[in-house]
Amino acid sequence: MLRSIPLASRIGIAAAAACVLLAEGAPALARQPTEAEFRALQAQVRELEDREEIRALIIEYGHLLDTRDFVGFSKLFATNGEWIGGFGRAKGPKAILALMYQYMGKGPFDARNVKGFHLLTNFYIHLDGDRATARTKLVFMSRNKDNRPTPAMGGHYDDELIRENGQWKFLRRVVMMDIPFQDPREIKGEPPPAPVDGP
Amino acid sequence: MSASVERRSAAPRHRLAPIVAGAAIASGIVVLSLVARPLLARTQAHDTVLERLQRLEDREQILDLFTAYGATLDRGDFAAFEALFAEDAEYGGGAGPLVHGRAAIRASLESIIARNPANLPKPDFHLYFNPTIEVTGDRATARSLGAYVVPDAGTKGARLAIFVTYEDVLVRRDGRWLFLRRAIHGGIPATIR
Repeated sequence: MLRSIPLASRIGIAAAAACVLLAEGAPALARQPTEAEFRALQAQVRELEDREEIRALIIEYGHLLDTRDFVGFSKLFATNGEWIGGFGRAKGPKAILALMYQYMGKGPFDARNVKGFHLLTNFYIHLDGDRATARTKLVFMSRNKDNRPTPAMGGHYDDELIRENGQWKFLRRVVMMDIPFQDPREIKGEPPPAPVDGP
Repeated sequence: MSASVERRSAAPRHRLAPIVAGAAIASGIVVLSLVARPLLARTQAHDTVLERLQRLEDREQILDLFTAYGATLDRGDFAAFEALFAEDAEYGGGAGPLVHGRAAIRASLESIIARNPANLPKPDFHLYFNPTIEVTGDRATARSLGAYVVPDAGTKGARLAIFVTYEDVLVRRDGRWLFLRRAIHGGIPATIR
């Protein structure tokens, strides 16, 4: 049957078929940004996600402390993650867990007797690939003798963060108390910290 | 003589033609698939980026919902407050039972605010803090803190009267994010009813 069609017609049919196939692909072609534009878009979305994930990590830190989940809390730190605060310092999730148990005890969380809330705000985040730095304001709301929430202290966190196995973790967290003032690094005989660029 | 020569030379052309055409079509398909494959992969990656962007936008819309929750109560706009909940929503706090349904939730809040059981002075407003939101398609879960700011008779300033934790399930209906469940617990003071 094919033999009855002249060669020129056959090539014509093949060309027409190719055109149909191309036309099917054309909308996809038209919709496509250039490779460079697409990579830029991917990077922008990644940055927004990174900022969200870091904010969530910082909020989770407060929640796990407030609900006395110290095991979960210790896992927010990188393998070499360090916590520096009023209780001293500890490096690595195991050591951080031990430090929390030492100072906060092992008693369970009682939802009817909440001790207080970490109120976290003013997230200031700088991304640098798989690393980041952050500074966050903190007001600790505690229950006073009249059973009312009352701001017990104000301060901030200075964080170094790392993406470890695809998840953002604390590489170094310094808990600075501003009101009343207490710099955990000064207590441990370290030189005063360098001034920070930014809030 | 010339006719027989023509026939002889025409015969091989006829035999070759389908092979040539076939090869042309085959190579055309190969070339097209080579072009299409990276395009297709990039289209898929493009869709993934759009989905990720959508989740980021969803999160912003859910933050607006949290803001609207406090703002509608603060101005006593219970019609707008009710519209933040799904028809089949649940709402509850402390040790009390959950309230079922949008209309019942509105009635419950109107009643609580009118009764003012904690006898708090006016004016007042809601704050929320520490939101974490997990979006999965048209559903989301969230946790946040809430506070209630009122005048302090002692200092003549303001004070935070109530501090609570919100645990939410959210749903997208007709393109809008709504509360499907809002549970309030773990506060200072412990009971908020």
